[in-house]
Amino acid sequence: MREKIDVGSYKSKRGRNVGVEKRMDPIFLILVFVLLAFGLVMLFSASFARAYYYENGNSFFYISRQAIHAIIGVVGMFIISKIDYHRYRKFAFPLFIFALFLLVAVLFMKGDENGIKRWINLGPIGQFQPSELMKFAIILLFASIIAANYNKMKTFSFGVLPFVTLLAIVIILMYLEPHLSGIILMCSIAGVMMFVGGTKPKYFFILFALAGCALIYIMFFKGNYMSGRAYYWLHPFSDPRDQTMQTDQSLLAIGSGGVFGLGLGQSRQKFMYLPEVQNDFIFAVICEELGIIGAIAVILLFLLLCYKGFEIASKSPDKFGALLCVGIVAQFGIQALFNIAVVTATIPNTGISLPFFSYGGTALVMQLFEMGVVLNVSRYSSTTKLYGDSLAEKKRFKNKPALNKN
Amino acid sequence: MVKAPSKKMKFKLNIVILGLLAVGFFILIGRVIYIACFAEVDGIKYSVKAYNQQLSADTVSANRGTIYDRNMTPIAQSATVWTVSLAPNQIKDESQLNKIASALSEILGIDRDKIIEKCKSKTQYEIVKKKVEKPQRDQILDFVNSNRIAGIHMVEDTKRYYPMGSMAAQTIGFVGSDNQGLLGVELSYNSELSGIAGKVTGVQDAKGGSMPYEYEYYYPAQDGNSLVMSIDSTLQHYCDKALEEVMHVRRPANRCMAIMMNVNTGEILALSVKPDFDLNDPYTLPSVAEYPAIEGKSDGDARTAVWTNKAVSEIYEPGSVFKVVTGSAALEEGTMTLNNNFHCNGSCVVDDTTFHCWRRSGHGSQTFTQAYINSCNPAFVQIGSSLGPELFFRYFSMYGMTERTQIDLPGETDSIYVREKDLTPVSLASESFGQTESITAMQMLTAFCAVVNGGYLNTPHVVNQIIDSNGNILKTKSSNTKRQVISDTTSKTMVEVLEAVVKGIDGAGTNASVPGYRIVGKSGTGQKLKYKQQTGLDTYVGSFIGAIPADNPQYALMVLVDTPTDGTYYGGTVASPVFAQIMSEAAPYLGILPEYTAQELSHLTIAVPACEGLLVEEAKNKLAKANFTNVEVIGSGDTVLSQAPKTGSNINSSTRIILYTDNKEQKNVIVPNVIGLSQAAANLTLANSGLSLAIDNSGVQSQKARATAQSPEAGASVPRGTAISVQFLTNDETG
Repeated sequence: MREKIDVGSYKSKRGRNVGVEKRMDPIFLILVFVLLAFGLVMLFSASFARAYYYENGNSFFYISRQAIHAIIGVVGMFIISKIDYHRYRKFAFPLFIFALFLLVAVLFMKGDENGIKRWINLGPIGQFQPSELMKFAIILLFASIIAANYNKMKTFSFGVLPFVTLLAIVIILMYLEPHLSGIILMCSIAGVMMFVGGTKPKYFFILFALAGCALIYIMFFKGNYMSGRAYYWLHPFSDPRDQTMQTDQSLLAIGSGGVFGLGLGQSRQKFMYLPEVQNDFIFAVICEELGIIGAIAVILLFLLLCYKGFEIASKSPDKFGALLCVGIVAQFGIQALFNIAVVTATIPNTGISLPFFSYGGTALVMQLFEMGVVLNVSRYSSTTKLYGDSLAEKKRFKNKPALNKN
Repeated sequence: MVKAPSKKMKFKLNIVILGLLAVGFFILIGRVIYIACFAEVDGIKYSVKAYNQQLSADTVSANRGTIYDRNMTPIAQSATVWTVSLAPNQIKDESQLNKIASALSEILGIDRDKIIEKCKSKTQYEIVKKKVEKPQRDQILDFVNSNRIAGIHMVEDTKRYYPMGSMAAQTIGFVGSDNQGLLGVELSYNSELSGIAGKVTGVQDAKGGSMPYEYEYYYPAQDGNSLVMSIDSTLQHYCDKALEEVMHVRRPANRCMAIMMNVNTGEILALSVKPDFDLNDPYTLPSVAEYPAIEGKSDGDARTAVWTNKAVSEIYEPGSVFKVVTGSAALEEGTMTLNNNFHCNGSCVVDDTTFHCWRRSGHGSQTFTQAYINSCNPAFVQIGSSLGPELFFRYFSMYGMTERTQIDLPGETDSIYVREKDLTPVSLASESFGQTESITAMQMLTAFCAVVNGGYLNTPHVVNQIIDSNGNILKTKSSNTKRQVISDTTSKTMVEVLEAVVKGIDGAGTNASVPGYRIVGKSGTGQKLKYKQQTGLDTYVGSFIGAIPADNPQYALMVLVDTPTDGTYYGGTVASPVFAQIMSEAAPYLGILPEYTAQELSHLTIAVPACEGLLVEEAKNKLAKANFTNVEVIGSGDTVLSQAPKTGSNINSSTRIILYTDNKEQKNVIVPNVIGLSQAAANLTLANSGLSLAIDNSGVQSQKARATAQSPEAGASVPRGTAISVQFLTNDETG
């Protein structure tokens, strides 16, 4: 790890108090709560029938677990929003190594019925995807590297090589799981951070070309499960009993909703027809129950979240904070984009869940923790007003001796 | 060093990246709008396709309406059954799969491997067995609950039961596996009976039961309406019973049938066709021995032949029964009167074609009424020719011979006849006595009813009322008169003539007569000309149509025996006795009580009372009370030990009763042969052997009647005094 870490001062050139801890960005916080509440309501609506089916008649199986995790996540989010994000910087590399270790470990786990190894079973807590942790580790690591080397980002050896090398290791491990959707997501987030961080566009063209070739090769020519997905993506309703069933049923759900939907809780497709209804395809139920109006609402909420998140990043006191926000917020935006694209059969079917909406306790906790990080950054960004209480202000200053370390 | 994000960073972030995300999201909004509003697959909007799939998987069958007879006795009922299906994607693991396969194969009697195959299929929905009844369904429910199994679904369905089995099978009909009517009123009233299917969108039966109501969207099925038929099961039973006997004795090659109709309303009270089939098992057919016409036919053709309603879907040459049409038309038009005289020398010639009378020696000189009684063909050739083609065809059409009866049964067929412009003197002559034209039995019966009911041609029907599931009457069939064909006066004249036909010239009666009743009627023997052209064989359809009571005809009964193979064929021989047999039971049931003439009373048979165990004097008194006066006591004891004829034998009151008082062995005698003898001769022969005569069908007292069957048979050894039952029938076209 590099010794010289620039954490930035607490005063701008113009002497404005930019580094002082202030209130969290209220709009961003409201957006998080709206998405979380909306997500829980839709999860309950989408999952109760399936829960009744599979969980011994307990319709509340999914929602109760998700709600508990939401509470844990929100508590954690508030705690994390109080933890100065600069402190993470020194954990960037160790966390990456730890995530790498887990990614290796998961390969030795017992896979699911298709031999796919993505999960580590944590017993009563649930299942945990190391790639979820890796996403955050990559964001943290890239943010700190870019912040440190910002001036040299235009060069190949600083602007491309370290990132590509780190990513390559991760991609290889995730490919062995296999977890194509995770790889795509990871690369997209990394790409956004590198682009914002200053990597020259010409390198992106080269990287895009390479990634595109690899993707096309995997999807269309290699005889594994991914290539089939591409075919069935281009031919919906060609195998409605098996290969295209998920997509077909998803399209039928969206089609049933029309403009205003069938009404909250009134989805018919969630009964027996739509597989993974509480998970990757929850957006289809939203469309069916709330129609185009509901779909637009969800999409706009994510877009607003990105907008506010990027604003917080732009106004953060330093590049590390900015890039941390960019990575986290981009992750949410890209994940939502991919998920909705899959549900609407705009891209081939890959397993990407919808943040805040899809069932998955540990994932939700992780998402809320990440939101906590963004909220913490917002405390330092110039989008928010100063605390009125000068006493508290002083207290804060006292509590942050570490930050003055050069 | 500038620590805050640079302007370039902000630009890239807020313009480029946010812009790209926004573009992506707006594309997706476009996609959603397109899918929600415009997308189609195979020309079907997604919303419709989704609705269809939800409907098809979770249809709730409407309860099919009940079919009642006229006395509200159920003939066809629906009961709840279940369709057992599997949802393979819900079966958790191999051990559950094996459990499911074992349990279902045991409970439902299906091969275990087949169930495993279904469990492993990639579909969402695999039907294991349809029409599973309650006990099996309960067993499956127990299994599901006790083992906490997911993946077995049971959806309610209905199954049709026919409590009366084969009763009026072709008329009632049955349903297919999808509860669709396939035959009879089940088919013709299918839309009334079937109701409107409901729908459940919801997870039902995941554990064998339903999900809590609030999780289901239940669009209830609208139950079908019920039918009240005009068929009376008791009358139907009389017809069935009589036809069973016909099947046994006459062995018709092409079925036999009986139709009872209300003369004034066209209601069908009974419609029996034999051989028939069990409506609960319609695919099991009668044997070739019972129905020789199906020999060599494929299964499908044979089924069609058995299921076809002979009364409306088959045509036949009516023969002499048709003479009621020709004669009534001539009377109505005045081309003939009751005073006309006809001469028959056994045949007549029309345009070089010779028409033989059934009696080759001829009937000699006869009146109009006698022409009917003799059923004389040359006389009717003359009557037909008096009408001429135009008038003949006018009445032919008016009597409904050129149109369907429009009865509420499916599969009514068209008749075959010579059009007016094609009627030559020869075809007119043969149509006049019921050859050449081929009509349905229903057409002939409705025409006969019109002849005797005052001239009104009605539309026959088998369903009287349509009622809803709560018993409210939705629709009542009233009699539907098409037209008046002949005047009331002509009709009354025809009734008199036709009563004379059954009574016979000398009041001796024919095979159709029932003691105590005045009957109008006419028999007919149709020669199957087409069949003869094809095979060269002479085959006949013997039929009789009659109505009671003669003073005001109310109920008509038609009996038709197609191609008897026991050597007889005249309608008067094969069909008339069946009419008498059915009517003797049906008339009292219909509330028409017998009024015996003195002559009938003298021929009336009485059941012998029980005398065994009584003192001789007591026995004599008891017999005297029962009108038996001719009593002989054999032996010297005080108590009657046995008697002959036996208790309950129906014999004439003048027959001698022998009471045995000794324990000596009774003297046996050998039964003589009386077949072919007249009634008087048979009585004498039996009396000489120490036996008594019990007449089987006491209505027939014609001088021409001859014994056609006896029981016990000649040569048997029986105790002296035994009553030998003998059937007397006339065997010609008379009547």
